[in-house]
Formats: sequence, C-alpha cells, structure tokens
Amino acid sequence: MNKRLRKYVASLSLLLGLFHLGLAQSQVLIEAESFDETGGWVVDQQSFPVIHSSYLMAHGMGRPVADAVTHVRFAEKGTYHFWVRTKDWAPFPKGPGKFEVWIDGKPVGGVFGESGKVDWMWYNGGKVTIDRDSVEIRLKDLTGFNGRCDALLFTRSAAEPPQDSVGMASLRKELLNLDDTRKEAGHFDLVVVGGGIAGTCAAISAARLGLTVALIQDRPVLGGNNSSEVRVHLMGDVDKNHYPKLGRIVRELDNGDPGNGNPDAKEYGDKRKTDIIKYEKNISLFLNTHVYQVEMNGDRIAAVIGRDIRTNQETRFTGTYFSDCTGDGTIGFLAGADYRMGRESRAETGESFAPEKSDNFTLGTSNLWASLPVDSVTAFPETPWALPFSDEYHIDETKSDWQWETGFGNMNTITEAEKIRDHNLRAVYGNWSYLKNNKPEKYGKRELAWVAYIGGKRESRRLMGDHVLNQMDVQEGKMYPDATVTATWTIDLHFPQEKNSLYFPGEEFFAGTKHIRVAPYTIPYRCLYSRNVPNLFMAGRNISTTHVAFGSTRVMRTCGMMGEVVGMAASIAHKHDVSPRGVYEQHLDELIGMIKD
Amino acid sequence: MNKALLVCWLIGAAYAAEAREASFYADSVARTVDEYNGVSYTVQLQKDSAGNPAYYHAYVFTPVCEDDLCKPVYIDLYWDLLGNYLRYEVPLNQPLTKLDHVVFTPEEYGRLHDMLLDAESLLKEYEIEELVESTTNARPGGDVDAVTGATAKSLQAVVIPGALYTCYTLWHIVHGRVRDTIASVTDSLASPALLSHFLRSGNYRYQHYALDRLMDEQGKVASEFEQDVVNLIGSPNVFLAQRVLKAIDSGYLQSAERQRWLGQLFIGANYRLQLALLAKMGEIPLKRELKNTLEMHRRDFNEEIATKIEQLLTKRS
Repeated sequence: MNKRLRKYVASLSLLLGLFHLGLAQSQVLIEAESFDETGGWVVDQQSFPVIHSSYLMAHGMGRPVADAVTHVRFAEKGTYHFWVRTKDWAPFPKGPGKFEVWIDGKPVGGVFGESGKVDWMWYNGGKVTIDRDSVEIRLKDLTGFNGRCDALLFTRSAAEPPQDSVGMASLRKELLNLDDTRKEAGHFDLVVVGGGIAGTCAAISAARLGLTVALIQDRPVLGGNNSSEVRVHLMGDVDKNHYPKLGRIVRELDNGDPGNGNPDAKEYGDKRKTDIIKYEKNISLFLNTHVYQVEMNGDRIAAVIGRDIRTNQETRFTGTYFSDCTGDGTIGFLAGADYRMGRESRAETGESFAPEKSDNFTLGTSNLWASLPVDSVTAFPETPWALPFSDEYHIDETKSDWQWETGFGNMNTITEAEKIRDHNLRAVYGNWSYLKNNKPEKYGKRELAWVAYIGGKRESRRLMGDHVLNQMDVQEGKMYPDATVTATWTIDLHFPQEKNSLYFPGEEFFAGTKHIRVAPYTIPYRCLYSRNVPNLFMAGRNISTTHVAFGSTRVMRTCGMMGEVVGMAASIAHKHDVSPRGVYEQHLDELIGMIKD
Repeated sequence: MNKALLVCWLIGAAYAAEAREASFYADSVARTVDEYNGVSYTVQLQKDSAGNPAYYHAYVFTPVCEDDLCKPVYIDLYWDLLGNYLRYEVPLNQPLTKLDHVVFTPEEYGRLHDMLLDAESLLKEYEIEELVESTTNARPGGDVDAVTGATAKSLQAVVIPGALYTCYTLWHIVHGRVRDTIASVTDSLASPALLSHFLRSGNYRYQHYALDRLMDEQGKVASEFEQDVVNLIGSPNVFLAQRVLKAIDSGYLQSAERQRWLGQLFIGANYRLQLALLAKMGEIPLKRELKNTLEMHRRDFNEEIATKIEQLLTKRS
C-alpha cells in the first residue's frame, strides 16, 4: 500500500484564508483507517452516509486487540494541539470502548472513548511537541469492547476543529486532497455497485454476455449478507423456476448451507465468490470501495465516485448503465430515483397485510454470533453498559440465529445503522456476560468464537420501477408478460418478539415472524429498473416492491437471480442502445428468449 | 418404590437446591391428573421439615407409542409450587430407550432435561400426528416447512434422535394439564406465610406470584409485607426491581431511611434501574440527604442522568 496516500499533511497559509485568519498554521490529519498497520482493529465503513468516513474499531469480543500503528512525517517541528475524533458508543452511563493514543512510546491526552456522549466528536488531547521528522503513533485498545477512532488531528491553531459532519467532510476533502488525487477507473458498459449476491450475479451475467463490467463492493469480500462477515445462509429455491435457466450463477456462488451464524467462516465461501469473479475477463473488481457520490448528465447517471474504505483513495467510474445492488438503494437515492422506505398503507396498496396507516416500520438488522467449547473454564467480564439480563429473562443459547435483530422502525436502518449495530452488540455482550457469569455449568467452558461487527441488514430503501410488486402479485401468482425470476419464499415479515418487547419495550433485539406460504410466483422485469433514472437497473432487496412483497423477494437466492436477469437485460439494452425501459417496450421477446434459452 | 436414582437433574434455582439439603415429606394434598394421552397419575405436594410447601412430585407410568408400537416409560417428575418443571428421575432398572431399545446416553439424559426445561419448546406447536411428516420434511439446514418456517429451528434440532416420541410425550406431560392442577392447589395454600416466603425466596416466579396477590392497583400492600416488597427494588433481577419500583405506592418511599437506601442503591445500580429510580424520585418529596447524595454524584454518570438529577434538584416540592 502506498504510504504517500495515507498521510496527508496540509499547510494552509494565511493567504488561502482557510480557517483561522491571522495565523500561519499547519494541520496534519491522520485517518485511523489508513494506519500502516491496523493490528487487531477493524475497518468499519457502515456509517459512511452519516459521518462521511470509515473508522477503526477494536472488535475484540472483550479482549483488548493488538495496537494499530502508523508513522507520520511532519513538515514542521513544533508544538501542536492534538485532537482525537471518537465517541462513547455505549454511554449507559459510560461505555467500554476505551483506548489510548501513544506517540513515540508515550500515552497522550488520557483515555478516550468513555465520555458518556454518543456523538462523534473531536476530543482535545492537549498539546504535543513534535521534535522529530517522523513519529510513531499507536492506538492502544484497553478493553476489546469496540472502542473506535475516526481520525487524529494535529493543528497549530488553538481553535476547535469542525464538530459537525458537513464541516468535517470539507476539512477531510481539503486535507486529504481528495479531488486532486482521484483516479479514473475508465468507462464500463455496466457499473454494478454492491457486491452482495445480487450484484455479483449481475456482474457475472453481464460479463458473460460480453459487457465490460465494474463490480464495486464496499467490503474486502463479496457476498454481502452471505459473506463470512455477516453469515446468513442463502434462501429461496432455484429448483422451481418457471425459467430453469435462471439460478445457474447463484448455484456457482452457493457454498452449501452452513445455517446462520456458523462459527466457521470458511463455510460461507468468500474465496469461491472472489475466484469466480477473477476468472471473468470482462469484470474489473473494486473491493473496499464505498460509492458515495454520483455525477448526473440530465436525468441519467454519468459516473459514480467511490472512496477506498482504508486508503481513502477516490476512484471515478463512468458507465453506460448502472445497477444499484447496494441493498440501501444508495445509487438510486443519490441520483434522485423514486424510492420508498417503510410500510405503505392498506388504502394505498390494497394489501391485507399492510398496516392501516403508512409508517417507517422496517425489518431489522442482525449481528450474528456464535460460541464454541473450549478445554477449560474461561471468564467474561461484567458488562454494565450492555443490556441487562437476569434469571427471569435471558437468551439461553450457545449461538445466534436470525432472531437476533434490531431496528423495527424505532431506528432508521440507514442513518442510524451504527446505533442499530451497537444495540445488537449490547444485547449480545450483555446476554453472554450473563450466561458466562451465572450459568457456569453450561457456559463456563465456552467462548465467543465470533461476533459480527458488520450488520446483516434486511430492509431499507426500495427503488420504484415501472411495476411495484405487491402482495396480490405474490399470493395470486400473477404471470405478467415480463415475468422473470421465480420466487418461492414465504412472506416473511419480522416483528419484535412479544416476550422480548415485554422486557425491552422500544429496545427490542429479538424477532418473531409469521411465515405466510406462497406458491412459486414470478417477478416482472419492470421491478428491476428505475422508473425515473433511465439508465439505472436494480437487483437485490432494493427492487421495486411494496414492503409486504419485499418480505418474500428479499432472500438471497432470489436476489441473485434478479442479478442474472439484470445482466441479460443490460446486454440487450447495450446491443440495441436502448434504456432498461426500452428493453421492456421494444425487446421483451428477446429478453424472455434469453431467459428461456 | 424399588428404584435407585439413575438420573437426577437439578436446576440451579436456590429453592431446588434446598430440596437436596432438607428433608421432605409428602403432604396429604394430592390430585389426580388425567393426561392428554389417556394416562392418569397422582401429583402430590411435598413439604419441608418445617411444614412449608416445597415442590410437587408425581410418579408417572406412560406408554410411548409410535403407530401401534408402544413401550412403557417409568419416570418421577418434579415441579415447583407454580407448576414449573424442576427435574426428573428414572429407575435404574427401567432406563429410557431410543429406537431398537438402545438406552439413553448420559448426555442424552442431560438433553432431555434441557428440553423439558424449555416451556416454549417447538414441541408445543405440534400435534402428535404431525411429528413424522415434519421431521422427515425438514431438510438439513432448515429449509422451508409449513410449521416452523424456513429459518426457525427444526424439531430435529430440539429432540433426541431416535427418541422423538419419548421427548414429545414427556414434554407434553410435564407442561400439560398438571400445571393447572398445581396452580389451583398452590392458590388454595397461598397463606400470608407462604407469600412472605415467596417474596424472600429469590425465585422470580414466586416473587411475581406473590406481588400479583399482594399489591393492589395503587401499589399498596398490607403492612406485614411492606418491607419485603420494598426490598425487591434492590433485587439483582432488574426486571423485578423495575416492576416494583414502577408500581409501588410512593408513600412507602418517603421516610429518611428508605430514601437513604434508595440513594445508595442509585449509585450502584445498572443504568436501566438508575433511570427508573430517578423517575420514581420525581414522584416523591425528596429529603435533604437524598438530594445531597444526588448532587454529589450528579456528574459521575452521563449527561442524561446529570440532566435528570438537575431537574429533581430544582423541582419545587
């Protein structure tokens, strides 16, 4: 990795008029995620839409992680005001995410991460004298309980750096020189954003039909919810298809069924998925790249801009067609595509499972976990900052399953994704601490083997297409002329489990569901492109459905097949130089023919 | 009854542990239970040496049938005073068996106990006729099936392989009609002495049961129970503590002594209880000493707590 990219020293002169007039000053911004060695800390980009950055997190499941270390060159020696951008992630009343910053072997500024304040902020670490050209900086985790650090700032000015995320974004842009160092990835026939099962299938499908494809994924691995970072198994059948050709790529990616939250990461086949992509000559794969900006040409998307979640190097991708497989509908949202979030009312959709009034209710996000037996009795700390449990209520399980879920409309699954994940962690650690300290006969010789720090998100935005799939389509098995993917999953809408609601009203973390069986039904092609951004496809959980229908379409084998269809449609659109809608209006026979073939 | 103790699975609850230490004797209170599968047995109250109701016991003989094939199961079952399963024993010469008369392993006896402890077991949802279809249809990894749904745990994960019908039969007896029988007997025995014992038992089920009977809608209790009920606010079981705190008549919390206690409790309580304590303190006139305690610790926690304390201190009483 190019060290030059990771250190940004900006000298801002009085003449430039930036920040504090009257003082020549220099500022050194060090992004924590760009440290030379991240040690045991992990890179978390899930809050990018809110804080415009990734950060480092000490995810040690209660054991302090190895230091993150970097070396920083200073253009000017002298005394700097030192700031640390962090938060107390569990201020109940004080969180466990404590860490220190060591400069050249000495702690500076005390202990961070225990302020009792949940907002991301710059914390003053006092004055630091830099008397060498280069210094070593270490982040020393003190607890293993998810302390986090976004950035460090050395500044000659005594003024407080911008605390708000917008001010922070412009400071970052300036000091990291993001605009001037941006790379051009080139032009692609199809730019697929999101490397979950839907996006990966879309990329492979299009590439095999001759399109040049960029596949952009914001994590180091492909597979999304089915990756080893989240560990949800693939569901939805591929053997009941109206068009049996669909599902072939899904089958290639399918590494077998290890269930949910299996402690063995390998079971989820990250390597299988990456290998398949690597053998596709038409696919350029961009891992660790979070797309956060689009460039429009009229109402069409001209380009997307992504930032490396570790180095912060930016890359621009231009394309003829784009496919939003982000799950959150990020690209559509940025491009102004029509979208919905939450539940429609019964009056609007005519669905019997819709609520009387529309609301913000969504399915939640899971952070799965598992424990394994060990040879001897081990300890786990008390967790007063976590959710409290007792003999009256705790979850007496050695591993998680899908029910461990937070975010049922009480928190926004995009803007409060961090809070949701952290609530999940407070549930997991609080419960595990209870089990370890109060049920030694069953849990004494067990240890947490794995706790997901990447949330497995079920629901957020749904981008609207020319057709909005609804409950009646699903239950009556309507066969539209543009029927493509066959879906088989029940209408599986999660709710807070009743008992969990009783003990944690408004703070639920455990779900229940009622499976409403459906006969295999088909998803029209018109659900797979945006109705108002003319070169935008979508596949995955963010396609055009109502909340109720989404309850069935959302499972990953089904999402993968949507990707397969998008790849085919993109190839036809490209061949005839038409929009995704043009494929429906003018070349539907060709698309159906390709799916049938 | 000529049987040796082969397996005795005791739950960790203090009250059950007591059962091993003290001597117990059968009370004259006994009821006949006619179970769903036609089996009839007697459940009997057991008392401790001081004559207090301790637990219920039944010796059960039941056939376990699969189609037309039945085998006998002999088992001693124990419940607490509210009908919650505690443990079981089987005679040494009549071990539990699986298919082809293979006897249970020690680990399987343990699994059976765990399964019987789970009052919300998936077995609850099943009719006996559904068992075969459901288990044979459940695919490895738990694919979609009509009853459990796709990602719910399948029955196979719950029961002991080869002993599905034994598990099913015993679970439905343990959690069957006997529970109502026991509840009605205990209700008839719920004297002030027993309820007082329940409040102090440390057993949250007994404590909730006593509260249900002792506390009126205004949160008042008879004076003989007052201190025991107030003490529950300091229970390590935060859910119980919260229940009492929310419901209890604030008149009980106005003395200097009780307020001193609440102040000390607040300092060491977990966050959830801290918030509940502050909310309750908003309902009562605070004595100077408690105000001083709150003032002293105002900045020890987080902003939310500091703000709430500030509000309490500036409130006009």
